[in-house]
Amino acid sequence: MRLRLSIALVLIAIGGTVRHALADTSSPPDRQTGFDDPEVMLDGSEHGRLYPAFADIDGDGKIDMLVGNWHGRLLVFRNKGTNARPEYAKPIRLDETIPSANISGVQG
Amino acid sequence: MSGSNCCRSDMVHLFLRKNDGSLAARQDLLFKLPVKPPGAEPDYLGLARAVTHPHLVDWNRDGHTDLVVGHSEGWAGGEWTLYVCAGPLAGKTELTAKAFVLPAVPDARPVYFGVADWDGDGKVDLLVALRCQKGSDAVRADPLKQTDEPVSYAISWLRNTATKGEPKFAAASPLLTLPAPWELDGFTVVEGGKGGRLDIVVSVSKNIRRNMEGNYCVDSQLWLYRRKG
Repeated sequence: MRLRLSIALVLIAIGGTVRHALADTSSPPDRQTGFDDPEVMLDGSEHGRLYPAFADIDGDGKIDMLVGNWHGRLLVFRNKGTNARPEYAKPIRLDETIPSANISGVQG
Repeated sequence: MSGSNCCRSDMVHLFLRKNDGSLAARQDLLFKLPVKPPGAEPDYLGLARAVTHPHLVDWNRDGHTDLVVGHSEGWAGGEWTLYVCAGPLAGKTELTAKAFVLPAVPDARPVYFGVADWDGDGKVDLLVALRCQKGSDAVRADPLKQTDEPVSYAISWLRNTATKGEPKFAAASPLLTLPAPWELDGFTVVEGGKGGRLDIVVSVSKNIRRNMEGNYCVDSQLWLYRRKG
């Protein structure tokens, strides 16, 4: 099958609860130029370090969230809100629909 | 497209969009550096653990999408080097990467790179997450030296000042600093809302430790920094 050269964006996934709360700023931030106080979007501690990216994964015109983790299994948080006010669904693993997306076993 | 895992520093994973809107199976793209002087074999990017965050962008403004890869845990001083694979990229599985050296920030090393038109002037800028520690340059130059200065994490902006062709970056300009004891693992620039405002989503962590099973675990979160104005 000929593939359209519309390249999908970076994927990295993490699971966890998606919520918004003020970040735990244990010490007052300095050199913060032009930003509001940070909001917690996701707690992903069960999955290790997180590497986020945003792209329309399901082609519905809304930007979804993708997060990578230590386990090599990419998680997708589909946006069930709007692009202006995203609301992320419970995550699914990308390799549930694309088995080759499981890169946990990819070695050099 | 996803970056390589920790055991492979010269590979990114590509998921193309099919005509029906779904994603195709993974393809693996390999890099190689340009051939060295005659007689030498082409090198692959270093053997060090890599966090290769790939970016698809028209880096040299020739109308073709290029692949730009940052190596946040470089080797032999390669941390301040990006690797650019010039487009067109369609149909290729092996790419030749050309090194692009960045202006280093004193007493800091890059943790992660991001690409965005931060000032809205139509040119691609670079954002870089930094691990900062006063005296770290001196320690790197002389292994017998030590520094006990505190470590901090920040994101800085390198403005593209080139009028054409590939970027020319100005010295780093600080954007934000993380509150201790959080560490900065990665970030991405996102469109925040009306008027093309760009926000930053950062990945932070702290308290790395081993659990009862002997596996590493860490407290980690994603934070949204909304840009004012």
